[in-house]
Amino acid sequence: MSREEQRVKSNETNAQQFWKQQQPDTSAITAKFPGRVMKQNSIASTVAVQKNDSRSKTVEHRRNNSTSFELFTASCDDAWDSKLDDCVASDCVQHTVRRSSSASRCRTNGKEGKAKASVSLSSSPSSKQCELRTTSAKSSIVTSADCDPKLSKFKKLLFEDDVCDLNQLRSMAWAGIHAEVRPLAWKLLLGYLPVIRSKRQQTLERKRTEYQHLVLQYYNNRSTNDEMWRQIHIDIPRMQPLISIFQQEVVQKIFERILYIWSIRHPASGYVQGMNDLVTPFFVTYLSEFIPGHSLMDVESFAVSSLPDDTLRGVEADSFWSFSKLLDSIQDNYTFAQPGIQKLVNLLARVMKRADATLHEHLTRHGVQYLQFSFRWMNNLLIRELPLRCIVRLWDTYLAEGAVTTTSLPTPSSAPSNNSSSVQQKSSFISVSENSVWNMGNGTPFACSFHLFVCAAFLRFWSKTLLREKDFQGLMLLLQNLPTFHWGDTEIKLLVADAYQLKYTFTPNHLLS
Amino acid sequence: MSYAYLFKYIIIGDTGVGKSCLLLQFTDKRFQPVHDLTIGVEFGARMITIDGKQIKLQIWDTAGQEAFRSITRSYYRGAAGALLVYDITRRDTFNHLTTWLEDARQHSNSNMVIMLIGNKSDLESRREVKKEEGEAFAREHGLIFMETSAKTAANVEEAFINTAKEIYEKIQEGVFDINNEANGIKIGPQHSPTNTSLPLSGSGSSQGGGCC
Repeated sequence: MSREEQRVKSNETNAQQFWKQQQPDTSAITAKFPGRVMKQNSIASTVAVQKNDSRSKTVEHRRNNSTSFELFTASCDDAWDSKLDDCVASDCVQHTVRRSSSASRCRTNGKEGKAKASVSLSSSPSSKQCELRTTSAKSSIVTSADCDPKLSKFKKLLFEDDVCDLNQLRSMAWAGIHAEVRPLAWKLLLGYLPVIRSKRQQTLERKRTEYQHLVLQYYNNRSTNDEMWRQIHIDIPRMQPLISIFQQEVVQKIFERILYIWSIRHPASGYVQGMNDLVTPFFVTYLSEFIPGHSLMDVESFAVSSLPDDTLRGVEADSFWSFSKLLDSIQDNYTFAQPGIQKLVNLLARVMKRADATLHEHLTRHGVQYLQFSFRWMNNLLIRELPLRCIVRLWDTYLAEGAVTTTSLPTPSSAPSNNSSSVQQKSSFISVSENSVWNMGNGTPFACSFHLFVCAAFLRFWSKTLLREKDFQGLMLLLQNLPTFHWGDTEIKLLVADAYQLKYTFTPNHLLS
Repeated sequence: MSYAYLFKYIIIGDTGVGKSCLLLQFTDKRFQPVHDLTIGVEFGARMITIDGKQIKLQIWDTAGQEAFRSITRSYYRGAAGALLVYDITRRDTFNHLTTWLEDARQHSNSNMVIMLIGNKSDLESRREVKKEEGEAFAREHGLIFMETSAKTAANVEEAFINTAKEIYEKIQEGVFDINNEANGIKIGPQHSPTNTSLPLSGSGSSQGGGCC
């Protein structure tokens, strides 16, 4: 069977049904965190997730009989909607316990922003899984009825607060950032721009000037037969041939400069194919700032040369520095023999052995090795496996997971203590893994360990489909062409929620045994 | 689908010489003018017929960049055939053949059949490597040689099939130990002997091996 036929076949089977089984180990989870399955009368402790391929259908049925999919999404609803209130809520809980006066001090969660979310609960049962929280002034920003309250919160954090509370930004970003505020949010989460609002413009200008100097110093002075330059020059026109923006010459030049300058300054790895893909999410995100509606779909076909040179130079410089931040945190993925990737691939196999033993056994029995299909997942951070719009959304969560909290964050005196309590609560969760191999990428812009769990979640998302393949060939062809072309935010939400659960369920102790 | 034999191939050569396009042309019969970079390895498969027997080809298409060499090297082992590809419009890709060949010989089993391919033969006007040079290199190193065009499909079928024929002949001659999967050859499920290994007696496998 040809590759194409195989693809068509797998798409067909896939279109029939996307099934996903998930057996959350609720016993392993004792505290509140996003993605956690909540104990609810209406939700069985083992939730069979039924993922309906048709999103419209899901919406249509939402108000009718509950499906297990809805139950699941409802149960982990807090992963994307109320996480922004985590800090406040958890603080409240602690206060409540201490003072033994919960009812008087806390009111039930009004479930802000629920209505818009496709994974929301439709009716009153939400009150059963309500959270306690204080009537903190911080969380009660008055917004007009037609305005998205979460967007307003983002705007306040990013454009109004003198010092952006990075922890709160992370909490909110985890569930996805609005396109309108994403460019600035990313720059802060990356640690590229300072949290102090008054210093941002100055920093931006300084970094952009600095980049222009690098262009002069390295790019304009390169030797005509520089091998690395030649390679990049050959590769860039081959990049993402189906996305028209990357076929534009002006864009290709930008990518060549970014990659060449980074590579020449990092001889330990130099340029490795796939790095080009890693620039794309930054580039389209920063470009979207200048495109009406900020839609990523529009960016993909936008005529870039219509923008003023100065704007483009800014986008280029910001993309370069952001890309640098990213690569600095994962450079051992690209040094000799790519040890970072080898390690991640091995860990993926170990996680899968526990997370989906049936699938793991199925792959092993048919001789499929993880390196054969997941090398690219690691080398290109799933960019080849998912539509670009999904990658951008996924990176909201990546940046929230791994964003630097220790640098460029002066302890703001105004910061309410509830933030730190949330952080403490979180860190007690992961303390087991703190000093292990597991801890890769923590405290860096991209937490590799989270990417690992996203890969595991991604693989087991396809479990049923893969189990239907009965030989090595069928499995390999499917694994390298997983039909995600129709994916959107809904699927990414499921993916990151599952990854989150995996991250907290599978401690190193389990895996290393 | 049943098959008499399964042969495993590997495609190697500098980046951008058209390895993935050759595979796509062979498996899907189409040409993609711009093909995104291959990261690590990619897999393709197709059934062919030789001597009236169904032969399944499983092909690993490798990334050409040096950085991936430590990953791609592991695919030499377990390959019965290799397509070593250069681009006739880029002299440097031809110059690197010696390195590729050394790498292949060092990491593969000694019987691996290597087909040298000068790709992009449709770009005659930009040719930098003469056909005779390719032929001479192949003769010198004991390789089979062909010029192909993944774009026009010229000689693409032949390149893959002739490699298979050579492997098939080696099996007939008893050169390959077909019971050792590490050689990149597997006998089809209907053809494998039920109990002991067959002596290497020509087309022994065609008789069905005594099982279903």
